[in-house]
Amino acid sequence: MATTIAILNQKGGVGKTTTAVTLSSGFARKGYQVLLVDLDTQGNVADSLGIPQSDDLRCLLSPDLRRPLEQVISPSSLKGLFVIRSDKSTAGLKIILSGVTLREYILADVLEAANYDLIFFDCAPSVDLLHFAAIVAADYLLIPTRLDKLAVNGVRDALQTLASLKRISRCQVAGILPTFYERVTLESHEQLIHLAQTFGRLVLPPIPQDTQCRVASRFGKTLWEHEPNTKALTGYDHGNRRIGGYIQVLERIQELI
Amino acid sequence: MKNTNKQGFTGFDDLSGVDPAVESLLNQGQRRNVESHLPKNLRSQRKKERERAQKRLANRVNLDLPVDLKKRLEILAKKEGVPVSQLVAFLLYDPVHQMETRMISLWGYKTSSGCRKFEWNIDLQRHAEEVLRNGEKSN
Repeated sequence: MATTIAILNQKGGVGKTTTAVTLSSGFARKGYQVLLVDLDTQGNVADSLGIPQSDDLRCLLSPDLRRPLEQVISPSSLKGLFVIRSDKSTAGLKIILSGVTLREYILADVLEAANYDLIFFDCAPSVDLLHFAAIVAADYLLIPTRLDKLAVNGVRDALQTLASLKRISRCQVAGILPTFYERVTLESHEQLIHLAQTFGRLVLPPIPQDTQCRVASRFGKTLWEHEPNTKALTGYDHGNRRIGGYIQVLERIQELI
Repeated sequence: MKNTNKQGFTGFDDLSGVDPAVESLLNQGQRRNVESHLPKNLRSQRKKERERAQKRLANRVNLDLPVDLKKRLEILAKKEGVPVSQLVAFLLYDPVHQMETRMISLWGYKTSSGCRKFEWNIDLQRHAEEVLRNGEKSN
């Protein structure tokens, strides 16, 4: 049975898609069979992986279409990484689903038989039906956040959403992932202190601000393919070890699952 | 493995402690903050000290020793007026060479560890007692 991780923050631009694509491709490189489900109408998962957008998600979930799971899963250029793509049609899907009974369980139901080691949900930056369905289907919640006041408020909102669904969800917080961390700015430092004081051990090692993330998505490549030694992956040099970065976060999640 | 915990929500009652990586970054940020208020010459002096300390880190090892052995080493180092780490390095050269050339082995001292990381544990207590007994005999 797959372990399911939802990557979610109601605030936009915090690095959800980059995190989803980098972690899922990182696990695929480690030999896991990974399915990445794009729940965002922007369809940026496909863009980041260099494949065309598609209405796969709508075809899977729309009651009038309901295509089988294997027909909507696309392979990526990486061995072991598969995706369910999304596009603008997902917006219409949300309207259609609003009239369906037990709609919060829709993702959990369709993915029940999925034969993968790990399933990642890349959620949209909004509170909607797919957002709730992702929390209900997920085992763990990973909350990326920029280190600024508004995004940190988004963490609190995500946790409140999780709390409000506790009767129908077994989802737990895997961690709060500070992104766009700049170790030379006081604001980043103070917001990290604030996060650590509030959420303690839930705060994962931060991801350094790195232009290569944007460059990689422009070329439709994962960070592992585009620039494997970039600091968003490897973190900061700290004496004889490295701190932060997606490699360390991958290790933390591996310990958890 | 599937999350089988039926709690439904992470218990936020135990959030004490911070991830070690986060703690390191926070300490680093704190240090930068303090140093930014220092005069320029003091700042460069601190930087040099830090670089020297970081170079030393490559040689540093963190080992767990039996408490009594640690105390004996500290007493010896104090008596000889040398750093403990140098004394330990001095004392280790001979047995390490003997083990590399198979003059000594761990045969008879290994016990099953029961953990996944290491197959065996060494019965240090037995070794300590034997060393003590041999020492008494030779005296």
